[in-house]
Amino acid sequence: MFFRLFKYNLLRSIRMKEILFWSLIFPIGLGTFFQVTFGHYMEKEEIFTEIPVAYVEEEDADASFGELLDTMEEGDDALIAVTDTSMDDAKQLLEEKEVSGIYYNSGEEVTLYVKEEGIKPSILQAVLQEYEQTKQTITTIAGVNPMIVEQAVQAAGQSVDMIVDEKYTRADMDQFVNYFYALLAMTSLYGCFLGVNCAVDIKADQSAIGARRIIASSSRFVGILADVSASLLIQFVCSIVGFVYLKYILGVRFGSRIPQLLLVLLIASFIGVASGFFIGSIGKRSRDSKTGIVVAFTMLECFLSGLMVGNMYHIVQEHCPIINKINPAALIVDALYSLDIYDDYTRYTENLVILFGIAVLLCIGSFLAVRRERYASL
Amino acid sequence: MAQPVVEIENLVKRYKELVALDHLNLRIEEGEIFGLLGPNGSGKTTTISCILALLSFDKGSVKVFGKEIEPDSYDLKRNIGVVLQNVAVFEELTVYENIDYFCGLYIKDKATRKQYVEEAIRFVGLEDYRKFLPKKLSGGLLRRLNIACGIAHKPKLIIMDEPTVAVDPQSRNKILEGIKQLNAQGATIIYTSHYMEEVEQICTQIAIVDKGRKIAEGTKEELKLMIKMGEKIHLDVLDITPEQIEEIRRLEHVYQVTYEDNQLQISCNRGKHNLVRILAYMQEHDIGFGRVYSELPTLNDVFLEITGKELRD
Repeated sequence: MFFRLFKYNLLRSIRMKEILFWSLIFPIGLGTFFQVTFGHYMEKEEIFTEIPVAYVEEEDADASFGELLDTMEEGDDALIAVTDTSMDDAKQLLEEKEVSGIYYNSGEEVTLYVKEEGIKPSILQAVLQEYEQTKQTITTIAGVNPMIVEQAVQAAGQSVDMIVDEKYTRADMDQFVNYFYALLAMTSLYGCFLGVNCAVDIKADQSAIGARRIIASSSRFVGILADVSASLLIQFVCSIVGFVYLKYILGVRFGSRIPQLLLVLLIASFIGVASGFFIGSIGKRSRDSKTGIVVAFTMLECFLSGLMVGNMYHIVQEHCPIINKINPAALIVDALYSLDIYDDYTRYTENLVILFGIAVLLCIGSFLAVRRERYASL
Repeated sequence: MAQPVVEIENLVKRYKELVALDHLNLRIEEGEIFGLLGPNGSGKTTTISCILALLSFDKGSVKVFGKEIEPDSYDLKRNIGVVLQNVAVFEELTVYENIDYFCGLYIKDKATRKQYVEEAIRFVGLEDYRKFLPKKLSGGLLRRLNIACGIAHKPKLIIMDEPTVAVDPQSRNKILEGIKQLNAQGATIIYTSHYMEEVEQICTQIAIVDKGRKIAEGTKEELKLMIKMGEKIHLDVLDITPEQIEEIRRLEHVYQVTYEDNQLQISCNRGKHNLVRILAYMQEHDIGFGRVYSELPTLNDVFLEITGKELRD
């Protein structure tokens, strides 16, 4: 029984042009629009990820800092681009904004000169601080136990690498990717259309089909389970197609943790379907009215998560953070964001647990609403 | 006495202040085509919804196949088929898929279901439309699909709520013939309709409900005997005075006379020689007339006389 109903719900959903439009065509179109609009900005940001810096070293200066800069300049994912030059030329370059800062190695100490504040000067400052702390640590170790200096130097090298990588990841994040996170959230939350249909098609006071199904000799719970499962599958596939299009056709950088990202999309699709199912279950408004309500809710959620205004998530976080904790779109965006930003999964997991919890609550509420044995009126 | 298929006793259903069913009693025996007649808002659909355990009610009992029906009475529901007033099919599924879907809510065995679906398609004459989506079907074909979805699982009790609304005469005839065929195959049928001639044509037992109460029940012959009208005489008359109309109204057995569009319509009580008496009056007063014919009361006359002629919602 379950699989037959599941199969027919799949068939129906695939044949619903409006579902395919909202869950697939519209997000793809919007993603393309974003790419056309923001694409050149994103490329520009990528060029600037290599921070240009001038390096001026006196003749008798310690070469270790210069070697560190050389190391950081290597590879495809280099953090900085160093120009070895004289102090006068360096100042000229800084004045002309050709470089973001000047490292001046006098022999006694390394000094950073910058012209203005910003992320790039901050990163240059962080590199210098890390170097000085490490140098100080090694000097201390050499004074206490010269035998382990070599190990300390190796460990420091690894530490610097680790920190540099992390800084690079932060630098790689740009506000434009947030739009695409919000777009993925919106795509998944459009499962609400399917959810509304699930509810209306099982309620005798909402549709003739609902009446016909309820008076049949089959379990209502099995019918609901089959419908919701099929809707979830359809929405998840639409979300995956949207993601594949954004990542592989448009080239949006979503990071490399694909399985974890797909898990976000799965749970996001679940909450999308559950939201629609919940709103479809309560009240006696028409199918179209309920669809309108879920669209309005979804757009509001997406707006607050940054779909229309890139830094909206942070504005909400600053003024009313609780909204970001209960807004499914914000939770989805934050889960995707934290996948790119953090090495550990604490924040990612927290977001998913909240999302899943909300979806389960919505399902329970919906089921309580549609399980009614008899109707007072039809 | 055989156990009734449906037995409703003292059923009361209120919508706030409105009493939709007022101590309604019905007994539908096996093998009947039971016509449930009533004006709009009389309680027909509410009665059907109570039989199907869709609606809660305030008082009384509803038994189907001898058992109180509940929303989870799946054993009883297995033997009930419903053809709803509103077409209830999925727009995105083909004719075959729709019938298979709804039949599958009752029949789990795939081979049996396939056989039943094929039989239902043949029964309603949709063999050439198996792969059509509902939106490609005409109104009549759509109604037939609606019927097929309701009866494919071969129920013993079929409830049809105005199944022929807005269909062409050919489709209507096909549907009515099908209902008689289903009945001949052993199904008990509850049929509601506004089309009196349909009810007269197929129903073996008829109940008329109004304002939630059953006000008459019997075979069509028994119902016709309940009303005052014995026959209705029609004459094409070009010229007649109001005084003469009044004199005709005072003739024996005549209780109503109307004259409109050159047609004189005379309603008579049961009595002999009504036509002869009227024609004699016409000749006696030198009133010219053309075509003359006499009608026995129809179910429509019964319905209007019992429920009244005032307009309903």
